[in-house]
Amino acid sequence: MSIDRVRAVFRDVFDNPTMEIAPGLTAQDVDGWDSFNHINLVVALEDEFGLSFTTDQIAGMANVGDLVDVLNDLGQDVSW
Amino acid sequence: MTTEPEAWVARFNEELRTQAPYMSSTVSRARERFGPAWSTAFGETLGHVIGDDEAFRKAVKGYVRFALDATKLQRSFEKELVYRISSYAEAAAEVYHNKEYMEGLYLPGILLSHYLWPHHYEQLRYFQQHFLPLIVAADDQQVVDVGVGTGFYSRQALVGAPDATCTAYDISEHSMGYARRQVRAFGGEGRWRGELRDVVADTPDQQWPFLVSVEVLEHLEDPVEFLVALRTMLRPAGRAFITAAITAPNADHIYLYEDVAAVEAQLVEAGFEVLDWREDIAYEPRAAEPVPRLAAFIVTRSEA
Repeated sequence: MSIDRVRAVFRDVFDNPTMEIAPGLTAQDVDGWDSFNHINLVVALEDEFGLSFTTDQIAGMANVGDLVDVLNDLGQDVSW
Repeated sequence: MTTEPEAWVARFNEELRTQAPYMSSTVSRARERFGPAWSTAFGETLGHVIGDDEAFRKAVKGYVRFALDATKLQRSFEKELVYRISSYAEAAAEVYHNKEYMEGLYLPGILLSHYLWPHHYEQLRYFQQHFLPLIVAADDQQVVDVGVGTGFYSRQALVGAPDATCTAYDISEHSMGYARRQVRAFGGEGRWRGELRDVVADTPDQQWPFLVSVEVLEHLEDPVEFLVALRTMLRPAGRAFITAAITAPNADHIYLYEDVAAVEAQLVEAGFEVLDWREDIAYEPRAAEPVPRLAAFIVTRSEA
C-alpha cells in the first residue's frame, strides 16, 4: 500500500491539495497543525484505514514517519 | 536575566516541542495571555513538583497523553453529546485505582493543565483573588479539601494563607500520595493532613469554616448527594469554593452538566446559597459545537 492514501488524508485535513509529506515532516513545518488538527488528522486516518489508535500511539506521532510506523505496526503495510 | 522559574518553563517548552510538535505554541500562548506572573507560578510548580530529568520527561509525556485524550474525547462528544462512561464503578476501575493511568497520565496531566489550559488558570486566579482573601482574613483558617486530586488547591490554600491548616479527603490512594508530595514540596506538610475517605458514605463529624472541592461533581453519579455531604461539613456561615466541568468529556467524567445553571440548581437543591460565581471557557468554538467550560462558585450554607 503506498503513501498516497496517507497523503490524501493530509491534503484533506489541512485543506491543501498540493501538500507533500515526508518522514521528517512535523507540525512545526505545517501551518495549522496544532493539537486540534492533530486529532482531526488522527480521526481521519482512523476512518480511512478502519483503525483505532491508542492514546500512546497518538502521542508518539511526533512526525509523519512516526505516524506511518504506527500504521505499519497495525498491519497496514504503507510504503514510501 | 533568566530567573529559575523561567528556566524551568523554557525547559518544559523545549521538551513539549520535542515530544509533541503540534503543541509547540501552548506555552507561548499562555505566557502571552497571562504574563510574567504565569511564568513564575508555572516555573515554580515545575521546579518544586516535577524536579529531575526522568520525572520531567514523564510529566511532559503524561500531559501530552492527557491533553490528547481530552481532545479526542471532545471530538466524539461534539457528535454524540454524551459522556463515554456513566458509572462511578467504571471510572474508579479505569482511573482512580489504576496506578499506571493515574501516575503516568492523569495526575501530571491535571497538574500541568492548571497552567496550560486557560480556563483552568482563570479558575485558579479566581480562587486566589476571591476565595483566598476570605481565608486570610479569618480568625479560624481551617480548610477542608474534598477530592484532593493532585493536591494543587491544598497547596494553593497553604501557600496563600500561611496560617491556614488543611485536611484533605480523596478516595484514590494514588491521588493522596501525589497530593502529599506536592504539599511537601511547597513546605506545607506540617499544616496538612490527608485521609482516604468517601465523605458521602462516611461523612466526617467535624465542620470547617472553609471548604474547597474542585472539579469533583462531574465525576459522580449523584452530585447532589455529595453536595449535601459537603454542606454538612461546612460550618454555618462558612464559605465553600466548589467548581464543576461543563460539556467537558474526560476518561472519568460521568455527570454531564449542560450549563452553569445546572450546577447552580444542584447547589441550591443541596442547601447552599451562591454568593459569587464565574464561568470560563477552554477556547472559542469554531462553529456551534460545545466546548469545555468550568464553573466556579463561592457559596455558603443556606439557612432558609
